Amino acid sequence: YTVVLIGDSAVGKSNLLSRFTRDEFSLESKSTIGVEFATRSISTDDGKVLKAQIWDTAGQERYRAITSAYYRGAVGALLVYDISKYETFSNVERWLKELRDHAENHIEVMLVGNKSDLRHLRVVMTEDAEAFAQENGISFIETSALDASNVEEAFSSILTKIYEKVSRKSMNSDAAGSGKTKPMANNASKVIVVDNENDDAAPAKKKKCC
Amino acid sequence: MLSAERSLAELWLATDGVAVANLVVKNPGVAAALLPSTSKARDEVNDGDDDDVSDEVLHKLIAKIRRDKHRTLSHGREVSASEREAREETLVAVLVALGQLLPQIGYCQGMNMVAGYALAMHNFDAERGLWTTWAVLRRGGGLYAPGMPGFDAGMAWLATAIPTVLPAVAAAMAAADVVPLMFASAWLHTLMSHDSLPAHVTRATWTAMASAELPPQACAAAGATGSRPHVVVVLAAALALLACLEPALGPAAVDTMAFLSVFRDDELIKTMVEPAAFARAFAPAVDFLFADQAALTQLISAFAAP
Repeated sequence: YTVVLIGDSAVGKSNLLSRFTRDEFSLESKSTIGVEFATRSISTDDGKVLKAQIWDTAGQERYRAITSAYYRGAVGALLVYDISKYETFSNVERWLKELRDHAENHIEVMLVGNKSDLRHLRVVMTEDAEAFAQENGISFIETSALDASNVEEAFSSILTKIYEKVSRKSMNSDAAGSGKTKPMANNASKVIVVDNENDDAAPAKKKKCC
Repeated sequence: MLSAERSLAELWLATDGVAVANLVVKNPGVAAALLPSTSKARDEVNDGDDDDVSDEVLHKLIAKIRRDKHRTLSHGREVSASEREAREETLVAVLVALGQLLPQIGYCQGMNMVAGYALAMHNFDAERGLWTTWAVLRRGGGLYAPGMPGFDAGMAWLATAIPTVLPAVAAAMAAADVVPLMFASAWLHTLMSHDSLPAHVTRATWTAMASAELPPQACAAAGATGSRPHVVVVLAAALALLACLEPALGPAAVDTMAFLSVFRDDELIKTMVEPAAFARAFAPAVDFLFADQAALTQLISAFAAP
């Protein structure tokens, strides 16, 4: 699955990615220029291995013309803000609009309040973010890339939701007798479901997502 | 400071057309007058409630730059904590000064890396670092200005140049569903000073920017006064990098991520992009870039500061 990490500059997107894919965190990580990426596979409860391709995008507004090109192939988005910087939460609405303008209609979105370790500096209340997420029909979690809390959960949760959504659509599609799903313009958007016994290097059984 | 970097600093200070040393001498106090605006006190006074528009713009500029203060420079272990802080404050000061000297560009990520490299080249002398970066942005501001016209033009040029010069790389990119945008933003927006690249690539690119002979007709057609620095040569450096990595890119064309992973494989890059190989690829790439004067004129125009 292709998932994008979006949100304002310096909210911790790159460290969330490095914590999830390499279990690493750096206070000295450099600002992301353009787009970075990483991959990781996780197992589902029903024994499938989901391979995630995660694009980490520059947060500065000026880069949106570049980074929005990546939304089109994405089936999931982690929209990250910093719980200690209110402006980064205020801008979440603009990021959602970006997704509405450039992403697939059915993209799975999760609001992520990062830097939850900065309890003494918190300015965005959990309830406010929860309410916002509910109003907008997206899921919500608070994480800390620094102490690793909820990072695994955030990525696993969105990947599982995408998997379930795709499985449901696939079943509905089969039930409807079409047996085919809509082709995508971009290879990066292919949903890759690998049987548990296979490793990443093995040929993957590929399905196309909607 | 390495001696190679010292000679690069001398090249930038002395090169006719760049004349950073002249800028420093001819503009006494300009940098100093702009630098104090970054002081902590000023930062705190402008808390966002100020009605003065220019103060609000400046406040936002400073806030944006400060977000990258700790996310730009690589410090050696021998650098003390106080020295790190001083260097980072100098970086912030230079970027804030540039944002005021070139308000049509303001601040865009990538400029922090360019200013950081210019400052390191000049041993963190604020005035020299400021005017070197200013000279670069006069010719390369289109990479960073709103809409990024220089970057768009650079991507379009690479999309045409790669199939012509490196057809095997173009075929691998097509097979992996990769476009230049996916790997070249980090290269172009940092002017090859990105962490993923060997130091000699940065040095060779910056040497060429200060010294290569750009066709005067192309400069004149683009309305550019003087011919240096040639920020457009960063495109030739990108082509040279791809040429060095070509043997690894074909086998990696199984999918997008495998292909792009080549550009993040430090060991592989160290082996394949060694200085002699890069120099061998860079010279003909510069020749290729300079050969089509009509395309070059368009690039110079798009790259120039708006």
